[in-house]
Order: sequence, then C-alpha cells, then structure tokens
Amino acid sequence: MDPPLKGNRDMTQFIEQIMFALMLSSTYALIAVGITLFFGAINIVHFSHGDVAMLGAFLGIIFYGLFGFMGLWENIPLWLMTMVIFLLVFIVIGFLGTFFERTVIKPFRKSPLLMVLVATIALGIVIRESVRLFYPQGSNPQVFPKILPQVNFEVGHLILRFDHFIILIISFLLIFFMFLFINKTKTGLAIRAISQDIEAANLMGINSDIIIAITFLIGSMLAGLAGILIGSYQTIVRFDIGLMGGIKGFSAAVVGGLGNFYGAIVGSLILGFIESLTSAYIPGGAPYKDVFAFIIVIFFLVFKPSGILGRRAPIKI
Amino acid sequence: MENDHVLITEDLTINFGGLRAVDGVDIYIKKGEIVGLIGPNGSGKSTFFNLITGIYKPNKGRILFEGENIIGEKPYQITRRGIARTFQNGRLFADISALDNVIIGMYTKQKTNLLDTVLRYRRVKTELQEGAKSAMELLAFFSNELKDNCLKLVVDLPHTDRKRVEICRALASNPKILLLDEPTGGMSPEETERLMQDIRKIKEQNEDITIIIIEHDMSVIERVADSVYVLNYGKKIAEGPFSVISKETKVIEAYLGEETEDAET
Amino acid sequence: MFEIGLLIFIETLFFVLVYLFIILEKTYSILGILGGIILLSILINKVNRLHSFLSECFSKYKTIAILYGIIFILALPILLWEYPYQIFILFNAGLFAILALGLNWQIGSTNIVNFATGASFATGAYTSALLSIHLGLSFWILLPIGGMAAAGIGFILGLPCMKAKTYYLSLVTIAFTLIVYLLLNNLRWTGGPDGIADIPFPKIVNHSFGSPIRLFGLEIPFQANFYYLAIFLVALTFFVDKRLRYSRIGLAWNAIRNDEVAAECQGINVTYSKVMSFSLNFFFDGVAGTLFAFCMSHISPESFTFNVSVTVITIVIVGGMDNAVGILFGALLMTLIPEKFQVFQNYRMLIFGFIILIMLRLRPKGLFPQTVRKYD
Repeated sequence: MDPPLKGNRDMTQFIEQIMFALMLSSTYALIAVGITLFFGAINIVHFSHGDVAMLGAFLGIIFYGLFGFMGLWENIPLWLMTMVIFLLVFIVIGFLGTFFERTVIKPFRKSPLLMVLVATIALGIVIRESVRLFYPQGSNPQVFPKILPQVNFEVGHLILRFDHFIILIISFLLIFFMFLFINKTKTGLAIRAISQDIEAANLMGINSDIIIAITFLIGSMLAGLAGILIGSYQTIVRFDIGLMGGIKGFSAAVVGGLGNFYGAIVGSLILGFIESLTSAYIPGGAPYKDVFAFIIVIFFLVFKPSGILGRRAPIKI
Repeated sequence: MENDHVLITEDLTINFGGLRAVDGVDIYIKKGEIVGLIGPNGSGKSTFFNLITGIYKPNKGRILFEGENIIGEKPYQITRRGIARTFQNGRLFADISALDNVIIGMYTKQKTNLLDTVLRYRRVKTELQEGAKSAMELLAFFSNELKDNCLKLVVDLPHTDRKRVEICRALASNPKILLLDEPTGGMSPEETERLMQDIRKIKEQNEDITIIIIEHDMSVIERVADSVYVLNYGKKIAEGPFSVISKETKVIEAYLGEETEDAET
Repeated sequence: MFEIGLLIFIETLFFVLVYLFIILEKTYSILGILGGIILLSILINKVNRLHSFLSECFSKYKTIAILYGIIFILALPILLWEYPYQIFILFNAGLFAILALGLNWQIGSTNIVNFATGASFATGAYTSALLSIHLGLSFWILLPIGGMAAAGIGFILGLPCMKAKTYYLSLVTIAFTLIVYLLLNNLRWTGGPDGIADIPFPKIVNHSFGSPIRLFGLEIPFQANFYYLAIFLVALTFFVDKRLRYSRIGLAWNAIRNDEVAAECQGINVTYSKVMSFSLNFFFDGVAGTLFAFCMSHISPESFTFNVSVTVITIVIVGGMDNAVGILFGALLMTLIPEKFQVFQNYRMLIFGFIILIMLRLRPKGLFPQTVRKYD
C-alpha cells in the first residue's frame, strides 16, 4: 500500500512513483470496469464487487497454502504454480460472483432501486463477516505470499520493481482482452445491446438473462484477479479491504462516467494517481490518501455527475 | 397581443443527441381556451409538455407564461406560477392513499413550514384537515364512489379511477393552465364520454382555466377543443379548429404514415 | 369493564414476558420466553375473533392501554433495581430507537439510503465531549449543540450531493462514515484510537447522573438516570415524527419517495425537502451521540464504525419503513436479542446481513408497514 519511496522530488524517484501510480490505477481499473459493465447492463450498482475481489485475494492465499501442503512446491517451478493459482482464482471467483448475482441481485431486478442497493450492501456485509468469522484468524491481517518475483531491474538510472511491472502488464492485458471481447465478439455485442435497451435486445432474440450472467462472470473474474494482484503488491490483506476497495472502484467508475468502459479506465487513472502522488509528496499525507480520493469524488458528483466521458443518451421521461 | 395570451411559445426547440424532438414550435394560447395537441406517436407532444413544465430545458426559443419568459425555471417554480399537469403513463404516488395524493396537489397553496410543524402544530393540523375536505370535494366532483374510496392506496385503485385522481391532483393547485396528457388512455368509450363531460364541468366551474389536451382519440378533441395544434416529427404542421385541420392533407398524411387503430374520427 | 380488564390482562402478560426475557440468563429460559412471546403474537394474529376483539378494545380504550404501557416503561428500572447492566441495555435500545426514527425520515420517507449514521452519531458525541472537556460546557447545553453540529455536517454533506442519483448518494454516505472513522482514529485532537476520556456525568438540581436514585427505600443503579433521559428523548423524537408525518413536509417526503419528477411538478422543491430530511435526521443522531458520550464518559472511534450504520438500517428495514411504532419494536429487538444470546455477539453483523436480505425478499415494507393517514 505504501509506495516504494517517499520524500523529495528527485526525477528518478518521480518516475518510479509514476510506475507505482500506473500499477495502482490498473488494479483499480480491473474492479471499476466490472462495476461500470454491471451498471451498463442492468442499471444496478454492485456495492459488494470490492468484496468479491477480496475473496480472490484470500482464495489465492488458500491455494498457495494448499499447494504447499500437498508438497507441490518442490516439484514444480514457481512461475507455473503462480499461473495455475491465477487461473484457478480467475475461474472460481468468476463463478462465485455469478452465483451472487443469481441469488442476491436477480430476484430484485424488478424491485425499486433502493432495495437492490441495500441488498448488495448486505451481501457485502455477509461476505466480509463470513471471512472474518470462518477464515482462521480472519479478523487479523493476513500475509499474502510472494508469488511474483521479488527482483528489481534497471532501466538507465531507474530501479523498477519487477513485480509491479508484471502486475501492470497483466492488468493491461486483461483489460485489453475485455475490450476486444466487448467490441469484437458476438457476446460482447449482445452485452452492448442490453446496455442500450434491454427490451429491444430481448425482442431481437438475445437471451438477456444469460448475457447478464456472462457479464457478471467476466466482471467477477477480473475482480478475483484484481484481488490477487493487489495482495501481491500490498503483501498484507484484511477481510475488509473490499469495502474501501469497492468504494474506490465505484468512485473511479463514476469519475470516468458510469456505464462507460473507457471512463472506468480514465477514472481509475485519475484516482490511482491522486492517491499515490498525494501520499508520496504531501508530508504526513499517507493515512489520509483515501480522504483525497473521497474529495475528488464529491467534486465530480457536484460539478460533473455524468463523469468525464459521460454516459449514453439521456433517459427520456 | 401578449396580454390575453396566457401561454406563448416561440421557436421552441430541443435536441436529444441527433434527434430534434421539438422543432421550432410557435404556439399562442388565449386564456380560457381548451386547446387540443395532436399528432402521431413520437411527434413531440409529451416532450412539449415537459418543456413547458420545466422538466427539460430547450436548446432554443422562448416560453412566455402571462408575458414572462419561464425558461430555466425549475418545475416546482413553474407549478407555483399556476401550471399543473397529468402524465401519459400516470405518475401518481402509488403507496399512499388517493386522498393524500390530492392533498399533495395543494402543496403550492399551503403555507406551513418546519417551524410550524414542530411548534405551532395546530396550524398544520387545520391546514391539512381543510385540505382533506377540499380534496374530498374534488374527488366527489368526479364520482361519489371515488370520494368514498379515497383512503385506498392508489396502487389498489382501478385504472380509470387513477386517471381521475391524477386530474384531481392537478386541479387541487387551482392552476391557471391545466395540461392533460392523454387523459382517456386505456378508457372504454363510455368512460371516455364520461371524462369529456367532466372536462366540460371543470370548464364551467372555472371560467378562466386554460386546458391543453394531448389526445389520440379524435372524438374527444372534436367535441371539446376550441382550437387544435398538430405536431409531426417535432414540427407544427397545422393549427386551427378541428373541422378545418382534420381535412388538411398534411395532417391526414402524417397519421396515415403510421399504424394506429384510430387515426381518424 | 370486562373489556378493560381483558386488555390489562393481555398487556400484563406481555409485560411479564418481556421482563422475564430481560432478566433471565439461561439460554433455555430465554428461548422459552421468546417462544412464548412469539406464540402469543401469532395467536392474537391468527385467531381472527380474538384479533378483532382486541383491536376493538384497544381503539376504545386506547388512552388506558397507552397509559398502562407508559407506567410499565417508567417502572421498569425500579423492577430492575438489581440488574444495572440490563438497564444499560435498555438505554442502548433507546439510543438506537432515536437513531432509527431519524433515519426513517430519510429511508422510509424519501428513499435515500443513508449509511452515515455512524458518522453523525460520532459528530454529536465527539463535539459535545470536546466542548465539555475544553470549555466546560454543561451537558444540557451540549445536547442541542451536539445535534446542531451533526445537522451542520449533514447539511454540508447533503447539499452538494442532492443533485446526484440515489446510488451516488449511498456511496458517498458509506465513504463518509469510513472517512470519519479514519479521521477520528488519526487526528490528535480527537484523541486518536484512545478517544476522549473523563467526560463528566450530567447534573440536574444537585443530583448527578452518576449516582443511583433513591426511591421507596431502594437504590436504583445510576444507569436508570440515563434510561429515563433516553426514554424522554425517544418520546420527543416519536412526537416529532408523528407531527412530521401529518404535515405538508411528511407528505412531500412520501411524494418524493414515490416519484421525484411528479413530486416536483406538484410544486415541491425536492432538493430542499431532501436536505431537510438529511439535516433533521443528523440532528437527532447528534443528540443521541451526546447522550451516549455522557453516559459512557469515555468514547473512542471503535463505537462509531460502519457497523452502527448497518445496525440502524437493519432496524428500519425490520421494524417497518415509515412506521414509528414498528421501528421502536425493531430497536428493542435488535438491541435486546443480541445481548441475550451472547454466543451470537460475534456473529451479530453476519446475522444482520442475512436478516436484511431475508426481509427484503419476504417483507420489504418491514414487519409493520406504513399506515394510511386519516384526517379526522
């Protein structure tokens, strides 16, 4: 959570800060993209999406420990194991997230917005408390295993961390694939159709129910992976990181424009940069970095509620 | 000329993305008139109402209510000036009683505030009780049965009664202009006939009230409206008495160009 | 005469069960009593003749029934003179009742999901605590001041956000609660994680709230002082709620809850109404916070977390949106039951989460839905 270096405005340190900010933004983007997609598809804000990411982190810890227990580390190289863990979490959390949607969100589809809101918040509470109560020592911070190579590499005068770099690359790739999926595949087209006009899409033969499930599947997959990546660079995870994480993801989506894919990315960049730069360069600012993020969100809500990139056409009355 | 016109719009225009929902509409309505606003689906009639009531802000043009430009004012300010409306899809407050709905319609005529509520409650109580009495009279105006059922939740009322409650709610504020958006929607011929008589009764009770009606049922317009405006694709294509405009080619084409069950009388 | 007697009998039965529930310790006995209360309620509900008969009796002799209830509530600490902790729990229930009644104005009336109760509660508590320690102001002045400080925060928070959509607002309230907790934990002048200690007990005419009440030769524990004050404030809040409901303001709130656009077209300044519900809610939260601070004499950020907001929301959802009596029941339930089943204390939030989900599915309007306004 703390950026690698604090203090004076030396150029190299500044660039290293930028790297960190980019990496931070990319992890937020993984969550924000999910939230914005969900909102686009079903007009519902999924307040517990951050907690789904948290589950990804904890699942990563569990798998790591499990493989160790099964004595697999001796026989198989770390990088392969890491990839297997990534894949497993990706899949499991994807389906878990979809399960949550089917059980908690779908029943409220026709209900007033208020109910869905409170339902997703309650879901978040149930997830957090379940981890706190049923995971051994759940209320204490958990150490996240170092599954990414802990080496530094040099580019000129800069000393960059390899694991941050990998996180950035992975996030970037995932978002890129997501982008391709939404824009170039038939299913992606269906998702876009639903977010424009769900009834018209239904009439066109699109099974909106399944498409919504798929949307939640990929959104949750990204969130699960985000959890592991965040765990990797923070090295410590707690059962309640999902609460603030979800809020940040939501804030990023709002700042960029809720329902807008590119907006989620733009918003994440803004939020990530503000957060890391304020905690690095404002003395004593580190504990308050969340406050700065919060102020930014309020600013946008007041002056530009549709976000930087805005959403689709205004709703007719 | 502006003095006996209670409502004037000049070159009223609004765009939604690339679509011109209302396009340069000029309308001059005199006090006390009953005006019909007709046109095929999607021609901008409800949008026009939304513009007048301040729900939308136009891109171009002026709206003059009793000579003053009301563009930029918020809906609650425009209502306080004396414009009340019903909605095409009926937007009542569903989980409270019909009576409460009509009393809320009197909001602009009521005066008590937070201080009164906490410290001088007697005034509040009196105000509400008088409101309840007037509301019940309004409802009785339409039917005694409605008055007897006034404590029912709106969501439990049949469709026609809901339309009536909405009209009562609009009338409760004693408006100078009453905007009715497809009041006979979903009604049978008998109910439609009944409503027409009720509209005439309203006019008899309030000589000065101006009524604008959006309708698809031409029989209503024919018998109730003093003059008619016709919209198509957001533009005004005809105006005048019904007998005249119903024969204009432009109007007939506009309606024949789309499939409705009752395009003509 | 018989009807009055029956009414008093049923009420007494109910009161005895509640009293036993409060004082008994063993799980089996508690479960038994709880079962008894539930059975009684179901019996009265299902057996139609009994139900209508009792309703008639109640409406005819409403004053007597209510008076009897008030006597019971006032006498409770005397009956509990050997159970100081239980009196304290009831005091807590009172605090939550005030918080929930206030929140109801926002959720039950205007459909704004406000998760910032933890923060507004904290504002009242910390403001009054700090003013008391640093300026030595009396508790009685601090009660309204704590309320106004919280209302001020509510106003500042609410105003810019009123243009925003419901879900934005909810996000902001959640974030606000977390931020306030963060600030309280980190700022020096709020005492950090240790909080503020040594808040003096209030005094009224030489009687300190810290000393027990001597009545009928009994020494009633000092918690009773706070209990009575809490009951008084609950009554006040209930009273305000009733008046708001039967007023132009309450009607406007219900209109906004159903359809903001249509509400605005009736001449209601929606922004103004929403900000008013925000401020009123926060005011009473602040008052409750002040009361809390002076009872505990030591406050720390741990008492003002997001969990507080969740508990209060659960009470409103369970008790009934826009039904004050239902909310009072809800407050009592949500405070008493976790206390009695100590085993479940740790699972409290998890259970609340499930309760919310279940209630939303089965009975979204709460156990006691809103009643229709009658104007006679």
